[in-house]
Amino acid sequence: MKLVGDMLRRPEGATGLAILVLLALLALLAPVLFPGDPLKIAGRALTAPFTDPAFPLGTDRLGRDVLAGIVHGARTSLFVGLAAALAALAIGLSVGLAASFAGGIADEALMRVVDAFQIVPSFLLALAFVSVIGASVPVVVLAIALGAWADPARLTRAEVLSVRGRDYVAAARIAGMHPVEIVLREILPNVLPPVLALSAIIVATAILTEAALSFLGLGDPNVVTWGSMIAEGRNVLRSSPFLSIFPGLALVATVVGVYLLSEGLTNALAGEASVERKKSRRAGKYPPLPCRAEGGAGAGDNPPAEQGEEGMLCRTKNLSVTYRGQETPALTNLALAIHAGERLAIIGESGSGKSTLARALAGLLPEGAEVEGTVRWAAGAAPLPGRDLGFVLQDPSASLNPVLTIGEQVAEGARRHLGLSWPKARARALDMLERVRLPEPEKLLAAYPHQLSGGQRQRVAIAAALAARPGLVIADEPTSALDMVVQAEIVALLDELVRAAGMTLVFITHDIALAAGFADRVAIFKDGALVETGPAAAVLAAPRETYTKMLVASHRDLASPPLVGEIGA
Amino acid sequence: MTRALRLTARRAISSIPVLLIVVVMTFLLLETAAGDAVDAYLLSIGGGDAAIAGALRQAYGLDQSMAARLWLYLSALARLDLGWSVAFDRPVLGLIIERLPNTLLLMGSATALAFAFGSTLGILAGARPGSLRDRLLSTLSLVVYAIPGFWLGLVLAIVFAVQLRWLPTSGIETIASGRTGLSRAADIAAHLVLPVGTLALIYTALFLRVMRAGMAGIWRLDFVLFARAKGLSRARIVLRHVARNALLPLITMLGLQAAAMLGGSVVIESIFAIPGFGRLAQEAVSGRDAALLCGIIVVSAVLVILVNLLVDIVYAALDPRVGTAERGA
Repeated sequence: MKLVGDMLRRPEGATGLAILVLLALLALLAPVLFPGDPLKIAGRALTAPFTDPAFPLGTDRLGRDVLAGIVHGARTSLFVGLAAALAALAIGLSVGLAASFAGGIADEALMRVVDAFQIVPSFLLALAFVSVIGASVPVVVLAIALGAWADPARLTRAEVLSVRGRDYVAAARIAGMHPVEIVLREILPNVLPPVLALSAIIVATAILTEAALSFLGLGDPNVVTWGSMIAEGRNVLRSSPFLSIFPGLALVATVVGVYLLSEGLTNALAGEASVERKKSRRAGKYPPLPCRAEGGAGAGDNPPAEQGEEGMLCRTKNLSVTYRGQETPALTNLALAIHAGERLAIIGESGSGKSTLARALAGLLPEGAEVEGTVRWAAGAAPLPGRDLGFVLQDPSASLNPVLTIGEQVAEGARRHLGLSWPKARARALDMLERVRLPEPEKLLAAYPHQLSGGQRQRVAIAAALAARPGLVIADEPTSALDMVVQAEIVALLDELVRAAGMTLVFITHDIALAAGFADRVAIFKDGALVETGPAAAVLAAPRETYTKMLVASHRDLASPPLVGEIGA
Repeated sequence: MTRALRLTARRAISSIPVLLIVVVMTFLLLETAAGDAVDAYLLSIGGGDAAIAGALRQAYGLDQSMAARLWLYLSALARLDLGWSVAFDRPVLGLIIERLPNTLLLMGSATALAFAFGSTLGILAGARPGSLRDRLLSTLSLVVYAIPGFWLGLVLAIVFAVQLRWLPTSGIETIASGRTGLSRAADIAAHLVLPVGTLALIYTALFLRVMRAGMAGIWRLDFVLFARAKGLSRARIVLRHVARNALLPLITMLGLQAAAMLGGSVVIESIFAIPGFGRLAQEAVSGRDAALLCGIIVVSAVLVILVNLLVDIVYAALDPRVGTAERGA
């Protein structure tokens, strides 16, 4: 399975597995390594550890070998842990599946039972169960499982419900697959991984619960367990603390092994890159944008724009960006100029590198991205995000912090860059909310993002991006998450604000018709490279490259009218 | 605040059937117990003949059908009668009420400490996921969280109470010391250092991990990118944008841990000989007192429900989205 391979390639997963394999080997070989009953007296009582080679870890009050006890105890710990977790998983999966497929009242009733088991402290339940029925290994296993099945049941139900709604399950149903087959082939494989990650935690909890039970004297009296050894050592804690310490260390090592394995599994599931860690550390959290980085030259070396580049805001030369863990660069050898005060539309389909350019210009590339080539700014230094450069993201429902007020989120940039106090920054926020024409701006200051519509949220984001009066605005597909009418409003608003303040606008979009409406210049991107650039009217009227022709033609064919009147073209 | 109250009321009502299921569970457990309260009672007074046993059973209604007994049990519970503890020879409810404050003090201080330290360390680790500091804190917390509480308690007791003699080994206060007021409070505090420290250490590790994991996930979200694009200071991004959102799963975790903490009180109170709720459970086990054990389970379920209601209120106060229907897109 790919997941297991992924997990083992991570240091935490591999270490965890190594610990557990070692313990399992010890447990399996216990009768060979230490033949005979570990509960039998083997030598002199209370031999100190590391003194007698026959008893490396010493002997207890009755003269029993501590090391033999620990090795035999591993059998009980691992067996009880695994058996209880398996039982809990079996019950949990069945109940979860049953609840999610039964639906209605049966689902409701089953989930209330799950609730009940989650509310009762599972250790108390196990304690009561064992004390009422009598301690033996199977009873302890059952008692622990009884307190542990509710979590996997709830998770299974939630996962099944989320998987069941997906397209491939619907497709299987339409194709006439038998319901049982759908469950086995389409649903279970997708539900199992997260449940599996949880099951590691259940094993750890089961091992700890077993130890606690036998520590309290509620374990099977006929087998040696780490918990009972710790309890036994407690009687002579003052004189021979090692009797309690050694089995406890074994317990900690086991549980650490399980946790490491579980972490490896969870990370493998999340696809979190840990292999590339080294590289990313070298690259740093915010890769500095090389303003002139040939040969790794320092970023402080920033000559102003060359002669004959008047009106130039920024020029990139041979700019390439490669994301961490990617082979092909997202942006290759880009040479592009941005003129001060213009409205430049960057047009391309997804994966064309247009958003990468936006982020590279703003200094917001993700961790570990490798940047080559140069970006020269007329001002000398790269613009400071927020102060010199406003950035508007695509999805306004994701780009606002859900738990902070609109007022705070618009004001914070102004406060930081304009050196305002909070009250003054709030006044500035109020002003910005008015400028983006949001109704009742006073009330909005105290509102939260979820109380607004998508278009309103994007207006808030624009207000926040422009609050510190930047000279350059980069809008990365600011309208593609919005519906058509709202799109036009947002574009018109951006256009108007930029015009009024004499700002430069870089507008990134996949919609050529939208761009045609208001851009001075367009730059067409494909597969990480610039295809063609020029004045909007010229490029759209007489495209030189085949790809541009195709783009223009496809839009003309659809007869899509420009959303905004052809103002500046 | 009406939003939170409405939500709490709904949750409180929905927990009634859950509590009923718990009660039926404990009743079944009582029924499974070998011998009934009368057997246990007779055993405790040194035996008695069958006639006495029969009379007692009739008096307690134990000779009736199972359904009738369940009804008797339920109606007794409705009158807050949790039964009679044969081990202590007094009503179960009084015993529990007497023991509960010690446990609440222990758990409350441990949770408060663990929350403060755990969230702070979690922020330190989560401020730069993957950094050296993060990996050190994450590994350390993983190991600490793997330590069984009873063993950690023993080890800390060996070091601080036995070897160094800085702290008392057991009990909640010095017996018959005649202390009052502040002096008594200081005495109790000294007794609580080790048990509270043990629990707090383990829960600090857990809260650290939850906070750190939450932050690691939030760093990838768009609003953090937007905060960076606004050029905010790193401290503000970490605290106000990332940590503020990661606090929410931590609050949820507090509620989820309530049951585990009550369960854990059994071993901790047994190690440090604290006359609390968990110790009572152990005494019920050793005294073969099924009625007391079941009373403890029912009360702990009620406690967990109450803690979760409290957690819900705090959560609603911290997350403006709770309890409001989604409006807009």
